[in-house]
Amino acid sequence: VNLLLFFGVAIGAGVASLLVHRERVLSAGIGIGGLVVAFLVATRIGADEAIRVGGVELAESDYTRLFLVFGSLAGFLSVLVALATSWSVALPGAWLVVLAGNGLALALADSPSATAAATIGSLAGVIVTLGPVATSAGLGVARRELRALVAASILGLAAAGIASSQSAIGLDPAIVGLAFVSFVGAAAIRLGSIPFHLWVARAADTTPPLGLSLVMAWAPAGFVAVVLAWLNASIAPLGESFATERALIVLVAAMTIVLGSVAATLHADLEHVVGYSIVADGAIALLGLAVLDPAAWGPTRTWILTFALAKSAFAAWVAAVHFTYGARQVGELDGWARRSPLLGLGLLGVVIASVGLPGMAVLETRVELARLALPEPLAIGLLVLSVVSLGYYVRLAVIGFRRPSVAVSAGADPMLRLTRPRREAATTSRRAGAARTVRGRGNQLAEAMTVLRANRAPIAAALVLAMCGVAVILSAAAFGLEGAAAAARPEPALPLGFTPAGASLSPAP
Amino acid sequence: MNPALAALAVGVVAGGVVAVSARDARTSVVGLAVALVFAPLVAEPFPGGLILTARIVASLLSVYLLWIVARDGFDIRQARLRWPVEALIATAAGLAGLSSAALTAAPVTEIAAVGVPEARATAFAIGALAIIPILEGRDALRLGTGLILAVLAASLIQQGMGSPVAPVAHLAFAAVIVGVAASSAALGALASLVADRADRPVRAGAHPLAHVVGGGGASAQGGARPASVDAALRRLSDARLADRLSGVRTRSRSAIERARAARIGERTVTSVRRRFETAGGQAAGAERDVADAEPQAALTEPPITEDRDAETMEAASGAPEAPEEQEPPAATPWPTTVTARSAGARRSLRRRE
Repeated sequence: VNLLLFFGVAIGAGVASLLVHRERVLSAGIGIGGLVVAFLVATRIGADEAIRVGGVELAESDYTRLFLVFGSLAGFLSVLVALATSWSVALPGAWLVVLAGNGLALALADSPSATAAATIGSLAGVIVTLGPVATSAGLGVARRELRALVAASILGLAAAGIASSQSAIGLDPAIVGLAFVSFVGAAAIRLGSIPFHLWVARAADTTPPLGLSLVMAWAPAGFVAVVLAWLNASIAPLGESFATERALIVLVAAMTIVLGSVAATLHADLEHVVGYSIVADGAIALLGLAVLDPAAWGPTRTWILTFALAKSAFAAWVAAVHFTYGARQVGELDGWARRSPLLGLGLLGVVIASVGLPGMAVLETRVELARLALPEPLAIGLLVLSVVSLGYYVRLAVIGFRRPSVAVSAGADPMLRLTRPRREAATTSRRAGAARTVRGRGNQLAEAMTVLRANRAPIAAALVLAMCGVAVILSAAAFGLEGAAAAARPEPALPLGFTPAGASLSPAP
Repeated sequence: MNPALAALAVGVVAGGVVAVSARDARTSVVGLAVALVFAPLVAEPFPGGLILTARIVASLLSVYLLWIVARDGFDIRQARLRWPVEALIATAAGLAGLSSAALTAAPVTEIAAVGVPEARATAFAIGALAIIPILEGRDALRLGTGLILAVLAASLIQQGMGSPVAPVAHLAFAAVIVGVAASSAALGALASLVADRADRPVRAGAHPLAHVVGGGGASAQGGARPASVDAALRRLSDARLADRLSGVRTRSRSAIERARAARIGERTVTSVRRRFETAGGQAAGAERDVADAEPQAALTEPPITEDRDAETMEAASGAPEAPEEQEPPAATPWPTTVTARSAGARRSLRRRE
């Protein structure tokens, strides 16, 4: 019931917030309120319960609960950071709709329906890519985003339709292999993996950084979870090795991990750095999809959630830096950490949440997935190469301790300044009567708003720090993430070793 | 092969061909409607009544969403391939689909899965038709048409596999089609808005008088208010000719000649004359005032009817009252336009303040 309530809240508030976008305050209020209520409802979602609605089974699980709880929390904090920095009117509504779509995709057992749910939810993200005001450039980016999203969905729908858990066993292995590559390729398109990364590069031109984490991390996360479930229900039970297909997927993943990190390290624009870092880290999930083994189920799902949350924190950090110093070029940000230690701590949190420390789930998951997808020497090589992903963090940290640049020196005050509220207005109002009292309260409110506006930069930095804290805690596998991710693996529809009459399965490896 | 199913399949493919090759947005939407409505019927057994209703309602809703954008004269990009080429491509792909026995699942359960070759052929044909609009679609409507056709192809493949498609899968396809149509329509509407904001040439479906009302004087588009009915008709004729020629660019010389020889109908002439008569002095006065207030701005501003024009003129002249004082009666077309533009400008100025 709580799952249905979550969908009701998320879709209702999200759509309402998008529909009243001309009334900016109302839209923001509905969106933020919806995110708070969605978070509260998501915490009440139970484990291992199933509801049947019109013959369709919606299964609740611990993982769905964690996904929706942290998704709502990341959305709430991101929206607050957007309020403090640069507001994007579609962000809260789109976030809610994307979460609803992902929640439905996680809850549905039927692969085509789950794919459709993940796609429809993600369509709301297209609005965010338009940017704050619709321009022809923004429209071009939105069209690319729509094309990538629906093309991936079509591949997924076709693959899931052809090789469902019932029919896959009776099909020619070549057709099943094609369906396997198509569905995982669809996930690669959604994650912007190389060579499908062109729309990502354009998306970073117009999409606000906080929207990037939604469009490129949270929205594809649900889709990847659907692909993983389909692989475990339909493809893995066949016992086919699919060596060529898997090699192709691993190649795409490895290329994306390395080249995406290199691009993020070399790029001068902060928002493109976020985009490429999301692309690079998202490809690790592709490694999990290349493994047709139940052992990859838990680590891949753990990675999806930690990756999305860590990248949200990184995007929020970039938004805060951009607002504080008015610059988004890496070359203009010399000395940012010396001016704003809070943001320095935030970047440290982002690094820990994304890369991890020994013993943390996020690092162990990365190693585990590389080990499962590749033989030992190649896995070690890939892990060594993926150290490049530290490159952009190190670069940002190094420039942070240089002598402050002109932009950084002239940027917003990153320290909290509390101006004393004027009591005079209230005192006068008491003497002068009720009418003036109202005015005095209005003045107090205006005063508080002035203080808040004057401290937008430190407030944003504090929010980023809070988000990084949440991401670090989750990356350490708190809240039973690993157990929740490993549970609820879909059962194959047909027993292993079942061979129908006329089927032409090749011998198992 | 079932002849009824084959006929339905041909209908779906024909609709697809029209949708991707039509030179007018409205025709394209009609073709898409045919394909969407008949596609769920290319199945054996037929889907249940409720599911079929849901699919058809979803199809009509999707088409209506696209129609909202198309009916306002959306500038659809011309298809690179004409309908005979598209039809040939669809036929070839359909034949390939018809012979794709590998996509037939072996009988695993009691429900023997023998497949529906008509559905597979339709899926291949529609899928082939969708490729070019998806890859090339530079406008939202073409892209949306291609994407919807591709989703349709995915659903037809599932119908062609032989095992009955689950009701929930039908609903999933319907939902994706509606979602894609809504997104495409929204992007198309925004594209029209953005294009109108920028300097945009006269397009079909928009009355040329609407374009010249906002100019307030001569402009790059020749945006001076026409002094007479004849001038307005000349401009209307030029605009329509330009539009027709852009539509027949790749056709034969005779088609171009026919476009040049086309005359404006009597009804249009009457309408223009009536607009001139009813608009009268107040509208002309308002226009003159705006033009007198800032002749320089009027010279540089595009003649498109947008709030921005009035805003810019008011901001530049520092005399926003000029159009406000000329509150004309709401019944006449020109004064209404002037009032709306002034009110819009006032709203945005107030919002800025």
